[in-house]
Amino acid sequence: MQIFRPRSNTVARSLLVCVAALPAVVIASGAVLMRTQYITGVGRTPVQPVPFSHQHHVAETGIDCRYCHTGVETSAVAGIPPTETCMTCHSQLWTDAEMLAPVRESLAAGRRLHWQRVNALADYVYFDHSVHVMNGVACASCHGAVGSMPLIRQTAPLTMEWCLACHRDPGPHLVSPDARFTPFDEPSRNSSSQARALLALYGVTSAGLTDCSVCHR
Amino acid sequence: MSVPAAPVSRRTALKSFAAGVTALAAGCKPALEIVPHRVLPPGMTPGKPRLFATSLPLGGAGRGVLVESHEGRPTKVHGNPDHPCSLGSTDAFAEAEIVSLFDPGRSRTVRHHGLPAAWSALEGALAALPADGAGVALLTGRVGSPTAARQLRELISARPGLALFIDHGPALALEMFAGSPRATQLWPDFERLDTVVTLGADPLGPGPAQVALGRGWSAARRARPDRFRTYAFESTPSLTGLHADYRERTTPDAMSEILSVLEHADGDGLAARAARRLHRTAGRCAVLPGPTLTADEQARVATLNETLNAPLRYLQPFSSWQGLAFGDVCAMLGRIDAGGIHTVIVIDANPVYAHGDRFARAFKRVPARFHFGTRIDETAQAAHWHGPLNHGLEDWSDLRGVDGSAGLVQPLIAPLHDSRSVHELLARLARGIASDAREIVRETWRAAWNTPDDEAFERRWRASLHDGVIAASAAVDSTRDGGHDATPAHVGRHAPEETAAACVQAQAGPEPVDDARLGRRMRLLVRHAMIHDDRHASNAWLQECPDPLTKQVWGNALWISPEDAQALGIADEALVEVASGERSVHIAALIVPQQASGTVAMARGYGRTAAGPIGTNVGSAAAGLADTVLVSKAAGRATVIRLQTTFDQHGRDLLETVPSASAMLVDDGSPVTFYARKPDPGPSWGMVIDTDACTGCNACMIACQAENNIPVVGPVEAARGRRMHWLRIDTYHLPHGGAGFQPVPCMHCERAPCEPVCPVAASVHDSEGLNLQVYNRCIGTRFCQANCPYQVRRFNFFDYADGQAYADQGAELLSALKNPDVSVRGRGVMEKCTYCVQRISAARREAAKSDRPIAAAEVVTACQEACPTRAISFGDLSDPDSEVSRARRGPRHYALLAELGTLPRTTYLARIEPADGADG
Repeated sequence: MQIFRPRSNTVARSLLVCVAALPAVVIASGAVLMRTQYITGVGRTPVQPVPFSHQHHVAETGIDCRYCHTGVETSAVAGIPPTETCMTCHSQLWTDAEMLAPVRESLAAGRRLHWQRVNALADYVYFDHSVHVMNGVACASCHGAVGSMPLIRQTAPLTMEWCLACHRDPGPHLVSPDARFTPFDEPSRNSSSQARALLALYGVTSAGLTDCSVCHR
Repeated sequence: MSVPAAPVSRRTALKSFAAGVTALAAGCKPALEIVPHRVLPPGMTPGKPRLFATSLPLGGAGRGVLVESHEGRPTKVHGNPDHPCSLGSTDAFAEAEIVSLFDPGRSRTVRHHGLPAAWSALEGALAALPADGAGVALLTGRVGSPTAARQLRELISARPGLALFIDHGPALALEMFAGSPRATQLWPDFERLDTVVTLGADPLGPGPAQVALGRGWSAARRARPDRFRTYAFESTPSLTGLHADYRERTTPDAMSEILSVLEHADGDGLAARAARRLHRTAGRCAVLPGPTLTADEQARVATLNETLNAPLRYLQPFSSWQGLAFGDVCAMLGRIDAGGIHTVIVIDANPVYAHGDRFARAFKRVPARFHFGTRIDETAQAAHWHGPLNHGLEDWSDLRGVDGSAGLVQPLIAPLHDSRSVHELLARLARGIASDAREIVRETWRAAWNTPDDEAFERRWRASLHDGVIAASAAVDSTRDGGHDATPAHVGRHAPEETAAACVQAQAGPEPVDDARLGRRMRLLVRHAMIHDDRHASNAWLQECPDPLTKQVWGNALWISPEDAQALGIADEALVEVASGERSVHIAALIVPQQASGTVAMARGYGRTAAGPIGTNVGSAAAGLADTVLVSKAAGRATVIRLQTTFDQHGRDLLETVPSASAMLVDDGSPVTFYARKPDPGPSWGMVIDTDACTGCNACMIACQAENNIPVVGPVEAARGRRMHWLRIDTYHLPHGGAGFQPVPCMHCERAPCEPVCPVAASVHDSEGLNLQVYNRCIGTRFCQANCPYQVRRFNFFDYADGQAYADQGAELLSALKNPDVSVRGRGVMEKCTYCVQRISAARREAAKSDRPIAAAEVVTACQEACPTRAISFGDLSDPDSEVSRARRGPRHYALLAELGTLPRTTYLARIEPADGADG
């Protein structure tokens, strides 16, 4: 009597294939998993102490990004506005809106507002807003079409791969100086002639932009 | 003392596990908050550091500094170019002050009999003191603050019965007749000097004038390399003596003879050669007296300098104040013994440690004892009441530098603990009411400046705060019209009015017996080392900063000459007993060839019994020992932890020397190669270190530690040969009896041996020639460390920076001093000097923002910035006019271990050593 039936050959062969393929599958699924929204956080919309709408303030009211994010052209951090900045308008407008109670309380009681961070980089990455903005990277290139977001969410995966895509070849991703602070659409990629013109305008060369020391130190 | 195993309890482990699960469930992104200000403080841009000018005290005297503040958090001390005692550089003690500020071991609350109490209770006890101050003694350290001096005068006039005593402490470098009414601070004009003869003096040694004097000395050596000569006669090696062109070991007793030779310029030997050169260069030479000279000998030096027309200024000591009468510690002991004192108030001093058992016994006899200071030290423990004082970076004040120029002290941060300002305390003692330290300081200067109106005062106040130095507050010469009278008649009373001569004899104790079987009678010299004095014993950075000559860390040793060691039959690290009178200490001996026979030396500030987790029971105390001690062999051995153990170059020319500044090195160190070198398009960073200018002061090491978030490893790890300093200083004994210093940071080799052996490409080059260490790639194989011929790579065997830090160094409070621009490295990661890549990056980003290349000298590394003698130059090698390129073309240029073909970017200039007899 035969122990193995003819079907066993098929099973054994497919098992062999599986064993050979297993490492590849594990690595591939790991690589895919690392790029999923579950890990990168794309689309994450944290609950904020005040449901602040960029759509209303930027698109409908027309406030410039730099009115609140004052450090963006000079400092590494763009800066979240102090309560005082909110109150320049809201001491006059919507003075008793329920939604704004935490802001009024912050100014009156001297308590700081605790906003939830939306775009977080690893601790060993050093990112400087000012050098990007001053060299033709639009706010929307990383933060997305903030002007159309009722609640702010993460739009870029913020992986090293994503950073390097631009650092390896910055030309197609740059925008003209007057288009940097208009976050209504994600900027489209430039043609090669546009890219050359913008690289020359900002004096950007890709040499050294992928050195480890550019972001890690 | 063992390396702490990860202190994880079951509860903590479960918590971490739960946190991990939560993080995983939430998409692996831990929730982070952004907490903006309510109202942004004026002038602040989040993410941009700001500098504030202030002054930091050392031995009571101020040095101007600029302190870097990140969003209200002081992180780094820089030199203040406008302050004459800083000139843009710092010393190791100023750089380490930031650790003292955040030190978790600082006193946090008022204590009564050792138990926490309230300030109101302490104030009540002070208010109960007799109104006229009768029977109350106040003891402080040297007073360098004009405001404190004014307040002390007010206090004495308000309470005429109160007796003021000042613990003068050791003499400063170049302070003559210290502690006597004739006390005078010598201030040499190095620009006009060609010959310097030191008699135990150490102008380059640690102290509040180290930076100013070191800068002057090195500038003279650099400007006139073949004319400027230093002759050192000293008993124990000092930084000045080790770097002198000619050096002779001399006992303190033989100084008188040397002085006679210098006076008469006869005979032969080094003293006679020095004398002939002195007289040949009259008008451009000076003799500098050291602290071991007797008053008579110092007077003879003054006369000799006058004969030689030496370009010296005679300044009033920084702690001299018109109309402030006081006694010294001996006088205080006399008064306590006489029974005239019922209350002692000690402010910012630790006499119970510094003056040994005799003071401690007398102190304990006083019925009411108050102590005010930043730490619970020996005096605080012996007192009934202790009140915490603000650290200098939390307080308003003012400080005079050694040269007399005053600077304002402003707080960088609100007091971290429930501490008070010393000025508020003095105001309360004088007037019985609370007042604000800032207002008290402003009152002093309002009176001093006598400005016509408030607006003019405000302008001058703001300008002085901004500059860190008060314009036209410069030194007061104690001489008449620039004449050279070292015994000025009109110098203010800045020395004790009252001393008790008996006290000195009592301290000396009975004469030790000179019996070969019992030991040898020797002269004990107490020196300043890297913790300077007991005040810095709790500073972990300074405890782990190696002694320049012996490279000892975490402790002190008895330095003994090879002759005496042989006579006593002891070897290195043997345990010896040092005794005088009733006091004796056991300490490890180190044989130091530069020590004069018949003398031994010990560093002060060690052997503390109450210095927190860092400084307690480290080393042995020299306090309380007399000048003459009996040294005998004791049973056993002690461990001396040293970061370098051989001081011989073994014929390898690591520290090259040349006979004169123009002499060419035979081999300039560039190896023959078949490979053409590609020119880099951008800047090519390089560093040149002038070993002829390096005095071994260690300022660069501590500056590097502060800039780059370098943790300490602690004594146990250091004894295993582990250390984290990115920049070390190698010391080599030189043939003529001195020693040479060679700072060794990463060489940033163009063909780096560390790179091909890294399996994960964590050690890589960037396009500007930096050899990078990518922490987030490093897996800790340590192959790179094994393959580095310069041994500059440092490995985190434990989580030194945080979870497994030594003693209290992992405290949360200490995380506040971290530089936010540099990663804090974890366990299992290799690290090393980065040429301060964060500063290069900052300059590159600033340049890129305004579309310009990085300017020359725009990037200054932390070590270069700190160096008092400007021995380190850094810059772009692709620019032929940069300082480094010019230095590289000079005749003294060489590369370390050039024969290995690593093409290091860090290179050296050889030390100049005139041939013996060349200047006879």
